[in-house]
Parts: sequence; structure tokens; C-alpha cells
Amino acid sequence: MRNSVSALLYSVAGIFGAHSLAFLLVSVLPQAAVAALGILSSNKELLSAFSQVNPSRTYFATLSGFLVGDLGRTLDGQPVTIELMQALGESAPRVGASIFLLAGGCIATAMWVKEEERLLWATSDFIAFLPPFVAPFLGLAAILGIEISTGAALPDAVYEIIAVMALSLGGGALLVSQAARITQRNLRSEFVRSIRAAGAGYWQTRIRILHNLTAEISPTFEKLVVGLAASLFFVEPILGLGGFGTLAARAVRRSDIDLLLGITLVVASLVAVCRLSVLVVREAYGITES
Amino acid sequence: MQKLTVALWIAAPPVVIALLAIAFGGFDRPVSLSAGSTAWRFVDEFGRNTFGTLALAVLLSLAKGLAITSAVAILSSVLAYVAILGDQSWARPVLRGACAVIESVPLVLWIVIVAVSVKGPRLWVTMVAFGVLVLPPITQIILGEFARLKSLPFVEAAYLLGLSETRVFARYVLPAAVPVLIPVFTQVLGNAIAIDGAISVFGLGSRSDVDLGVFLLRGKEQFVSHPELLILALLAYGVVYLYLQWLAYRSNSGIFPQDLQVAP
Repeated sequence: MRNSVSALLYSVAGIFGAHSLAFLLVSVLPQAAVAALGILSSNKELLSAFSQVNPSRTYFATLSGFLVGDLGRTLDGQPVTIELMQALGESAPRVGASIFLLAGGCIATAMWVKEEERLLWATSDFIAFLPPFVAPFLGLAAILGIEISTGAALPDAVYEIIAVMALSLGGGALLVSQAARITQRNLRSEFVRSIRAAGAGYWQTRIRILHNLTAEISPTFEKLVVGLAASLFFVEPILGLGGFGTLAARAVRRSDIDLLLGITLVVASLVAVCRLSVLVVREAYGITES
Repeated sequence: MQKLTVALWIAAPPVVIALLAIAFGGFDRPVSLSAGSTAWRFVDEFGRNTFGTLALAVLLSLAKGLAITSAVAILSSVLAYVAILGDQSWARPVLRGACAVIESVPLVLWIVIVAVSVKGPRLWVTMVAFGVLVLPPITQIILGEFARLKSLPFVEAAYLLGLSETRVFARYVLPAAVPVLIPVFTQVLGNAIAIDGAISVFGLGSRSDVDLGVFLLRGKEQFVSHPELLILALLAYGVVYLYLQWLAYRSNSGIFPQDLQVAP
């Protein structure tokens, strides 16, 4: 109970802290209108007109707006909440499919990795080391290669499949690498030797250590959500797909303050939910955080 | 003699890359290109030799990454040391709170926000932003490791011998933490190398920058006309990765002197 309250407090602190830090960065340090207008900001009339149309909100205005679900308006005058909901609606199936792939990869590793297998985690380590924008580059290269060789545009479904694979690659590599290491260590443990000696078969042993793996690997899940969000920022703009990542890229390029704050809040909230879910899973396995 | 061997092993790959950069004209002035001459293989759109530029990019990215990583390593170790010297009760909640805030949002988004917000030399802004943002999580890891080591019998024995706090830390605790620190800093170094390329994806960098991440980005953009750029950039990443992994591996077995391998 104490751990749950503590984790909840840190999660709330994480959300509000991220919002405050993002607000400080995007609106206190530079003049937002100058950042948004760029070279045109030298025109004083334009700068004044822009500031009148887009009045900068105070920190408390953004915070109170957040508490009642009003995240402000984009530079185009659209409500940020609606823009975010639309973008999340487009990205959610991709993220869901990626999480499904990641879980599948983790279970497959737990079921089939050999005790002395090293190539798997060595390869996974290298893939996890690569920057998150490499996977969509390779996906785009594959699409271009096929389109040039066949002379025909590929259907949208192929772009979606490539996007899901590009999203999953980095996080999946990290997860598989950790799952392989933990499973191999568990396979060499006294516990596994004991249950094998007691007559447990291959699948019984593997399913039993899958539980251990779930308890141990669940903290990585929180990092994976951050990793998936980071991958979205690259995969969608690079592959030319709409969604949360493309919206974030647009917000950054246009210095759209309210939109950037909204994006920060959405990601921070997702991470907080994952953090609490992980805590629940670990407590179910009898592991309490110190 | 052993320390000299260590220095030679660590310095050899960067020296070889520097020699390759010189051999392929990475430091030479770009050649002037006539119309359509960018179609030449191994000469990029700025008139630079691809191999020379790539070798130089690897070298500069490594140097930049090492500079940030060293700064983070020193600062985080000092902070963890200060925290562990006194009462730790304040340090852990503060670090946990800072980590909760920073880890709530992807690092790249933070850095991109800083890069669009803060006006100043982009290189310094991104380097400082990256360093500041990775500092709390790294300090938290190091603090945990120092706290674990400090409770071990060989450290307690050193205190009983009357050694000062600083000497125990420098002579026993820090060297014993090396096997944990090296993989952590290898990861930091990998991210530090990639960060310029990552912010370039958002349209913030310059394509003429000599940087491994930017090279990778250009490889993607020119995949149809110059596919070798992407392939070479990925190979270069592979080389950097192997070098870092080799350093991490050697830190546990081999080239580091015995007094840096205190086995608790």
C-alpha cells in the first residue's frame, strides 16, 4: 500500500514536472512569436499582430486548463485536445500492433532460446544500440526499392506493416536481449535443475520460467513505452504517415507551444499509467520496490 | 608498461580512422562540382570525398560523444559521491523525482524542444541539454552501485585500516564500480553520437555538418541516387558499436591494469 501511494505520487510528480519543465523551455526562455515567425519576426507589425492573435498563456492558465481538459489551441486555431485525439486515433493501432509484436517476441524468446545462445542477444544489442531513426530509414529504403523495381506504388497497408515493424525493431531488440539473458540465467538456476529432476518437461519448465521473466522484465515495459513514443516521432514523419509522431514533428517545426505542451502531457501520462501497471504486476508476483 | 598498453589499445582505432580520413581527403577542401557531377560515386553533393567525410564524421562524433560522456561521468560520480558521503535520505527521493520528470518524456523530444527554444550555437545547446537530461538517471544508477559497494567487507576493511573517505573512494569504491559504469556510459555514448542526427530528422540541423547521425540522415534522403551513403553510414555505426563493445568487454577482462579490477 505504501509503495503504491509512493509510486502514484512520483507518477503525478512526473506528469506535472514534465509539464512545468516543458512550459519553462518553450515559453519562458525564448519569445514564442519570434520562434514561430522565424525571419518574418523582424517585421514589428507582423509580430504585434501574431501576438494579438496568439496571446501567450501563463503557466497557471495552462495548468488550470489541463485540469479541466482544455489544452489550448494550435497556431491554426484548432483545439489541441481534438488534434491530439485525432492523432492518437491514427497512431493507436500501430502502437497496439507493436506492443503485440514485442510481447510475442518476448514469449518466443522465453520458449525457444537455448542455454548457450549468444548470437541472438549480440545481434539484439547491436540493433538496440542503433538510433531510433534507423529502422524507419531501412523501411523506407525497402519500400523505395520495391516501388522502383516493380514500377508501381505499394498499397497503404504495406506502409502500415513497415511502420509497425520499424516501431517494434528498437524496443523489440532491447526486450529480446534482456529476455534471452534472464531466461538463460534462469535455465542455469538451482530452481530449474530441481523442477527438471522432479520430472518437469520442456514446456512445463519454460512456462514456469516465463512467470519469472514477466516479473523481472516488467520494469523494461515502462522504458519501452517511452521508446515507442520516441520511435513514433521518427517512423510516422519519415514514412509520410499521419499520427502522433507527425503531429509532434509539426509542433516542433512551428514552435507550436500549446501543442508541444499537450504532446508532453500525453506522453508523460502514458508513462505514468505504465509505471503504475508495472507496479501492480510486480506486486502480484510479490516483488515490492525498495 | 601495462598502462601504456591500455592507452595504445584504446587509442589505436581512432588513430586508424584519423589516418583513413587523411588518406581519403576528409580534411581537404571540397572540389567544385559542375552540373550533374554529384552523380559521381563517392563524391557527395558538397563536393567532398564520401570515405574521407565518413571517417572524419566517425572521428568527430566519437570525440563529441566522448566529451559529453566524460562530463556526465565526472559530474554524476561526484554527485553520487557527495550524496553517499553524508546522509543519503535526501538524495534518493530528489533523484527519483528528477528521474520521474525526465524519464516521462522521450529524451529526443526534450532535446528538440531545447534546440528550438534556446538560441545559441546548436552544438553546445544540444550537448549541454543532453548532458543535463541524462545526469539524474545516471547519478541514480551510480549512487545505487556506490551504496552497494560501500557496504561490502573489503570497503569496511579499508575504513578499519584508517584510510580517509576520499582515498577509500578513489582507491577501492570507484575502481570496483568500473564493470557497472562502463556499460552505462557506453549506452550514453551511443545516444550522444546519435543525437545530432535525431534532431536533424526534425529539420533542425544542417546537412553539411560532419556528423555520423547527419550522415545517416543524408543516406536516407539520397538512397535512390547514392545508396552507398546509407550502407556506409550503417557500416560506420557497426564499427563504432564494435569498438565500444570491445572497450566494455576489455574493461572486465584484459587490458585494464589489475589495480583497476578490484574484485569485491
